[in-house]
Amino acid sequence: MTKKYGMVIDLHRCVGCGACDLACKSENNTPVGINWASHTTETYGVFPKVSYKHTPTLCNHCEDAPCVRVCPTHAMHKTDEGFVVHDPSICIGCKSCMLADPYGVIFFNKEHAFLDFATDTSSAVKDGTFSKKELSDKAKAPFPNFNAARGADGYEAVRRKGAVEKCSFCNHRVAKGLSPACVVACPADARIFGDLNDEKSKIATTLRAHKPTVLLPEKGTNPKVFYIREYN
Amino acid sequence: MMQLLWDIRVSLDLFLGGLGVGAFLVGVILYYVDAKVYDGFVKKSFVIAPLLVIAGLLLLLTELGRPLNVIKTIYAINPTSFMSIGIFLQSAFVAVALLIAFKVLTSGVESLSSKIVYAGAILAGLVGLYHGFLLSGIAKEPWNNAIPVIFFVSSILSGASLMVLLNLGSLESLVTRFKLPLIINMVLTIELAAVFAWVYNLALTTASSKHAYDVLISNFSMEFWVLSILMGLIAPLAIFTLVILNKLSLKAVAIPTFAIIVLGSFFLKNLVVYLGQAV
Repeated sequence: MTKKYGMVIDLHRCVGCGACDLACKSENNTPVGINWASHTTETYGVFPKVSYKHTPTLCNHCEDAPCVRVCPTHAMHKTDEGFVVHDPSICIGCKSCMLADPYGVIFFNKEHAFLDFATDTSSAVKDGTFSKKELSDKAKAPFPNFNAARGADGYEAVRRKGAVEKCSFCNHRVAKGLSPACVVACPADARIFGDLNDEKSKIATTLRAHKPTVLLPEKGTNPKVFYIREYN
Repeated sequence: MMQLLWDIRVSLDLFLGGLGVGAFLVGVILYYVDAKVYDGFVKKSFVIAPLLVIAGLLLLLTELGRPLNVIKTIYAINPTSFMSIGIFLQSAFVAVALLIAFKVLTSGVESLSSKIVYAGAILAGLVGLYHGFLLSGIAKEPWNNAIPVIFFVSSILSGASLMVLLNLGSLESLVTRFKLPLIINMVLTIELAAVFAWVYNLALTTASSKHAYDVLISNFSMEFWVLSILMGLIAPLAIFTLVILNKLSLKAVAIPTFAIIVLGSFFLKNLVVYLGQAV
């Protein structure tokens, strides 16, 4: 049977440290303002009965993805393994996917990401610290607008402006048998990633043992990111 | 704060495209009614229509992040995407409309084949409907299934009004033969009914649609009530009613009345584009 990947986030284990957010940034070199992995926080109730909710967010890799439905060129597409991924080479930058996405997890690259590393010659301490441009020049690479790990395997490594981008479930890592960067970085093992079609997999057994929820179930998108248990 | 992904250039594309489609369809009607009598009117309609649609498309291209990649939509087709289908429809309409415009300018209206005019009319109708489906296909609350009707009727109204403004010399003939104020009032009433259906759907159905209605009423009340409804629809309806009742002369009020219909169409479409992104 074809693999169908998904992710479970155990909210009871999650400590809200943000390691997943940072690991994603590091792995995928996303610029400021573009967060493939992120989180929402909510404080509710009336003192002294106040509760707090921390919900990690990422692309839900929906079975019925609205972003895939509206994309005019199939740049946003679904793979056989259930990844909703984006091909920037045919993206026209119309942003329809962002408008259709009910979760707000698709981002538009309005400017060349990290352009300041090619142009900014100012330094914090004159003759004492590198400017961004010096750093980039000495690294002899379009650093850090270059994802060496991702680019090494035929994926687009340099992030150019005018296209959208989003979480890919680190499909470049999964292809090598590794887990997504956010899963590996989680200090509380709150994230379980795996094949939903394999009944013996940890994700499938976990989902059977709990009552999973998804974000915005009323949208009917059939997300593949599930949440179990609660923080409180 | 509203995250504006589609700015006024998208609204202008939908407005100018609608004007072009409306102008073309009015030209088609008069072409089939009597091409000889309305030669000047038909000629102007067929020449201006592709120019307006092209102007809108050029504005839209500047809004895209990677406009040069549009060429790839020819082979990378997504049948579930209205935009993908619309690119083909608009290209086909522009091609046919330009051919018609070329024939009209070089050989006159009488040289046109009625078959190509008919093909152009079908494409114009489909493009007019596509403008609304582009939004309703994205399925945000304010972009519901009333939008294609609202946009299409608005396009017909604004296109027809623009062409009347450009052919004021034919006004008497149009009034005598077609009872123009009566027809315009019928279309204005259909548009008002469609807008009512849209607002009713927003205000009384789901929680999220009610939220969209609240945003419409609280944040866009000026654009909606004053510019789109009062100025664009109710004021011309009232003025044409007075004309029908012989209380006013159409000649005296034609320019401002047809002008506010055109402006109202822009404000209504612009409002819908922005509201969808504000909720």
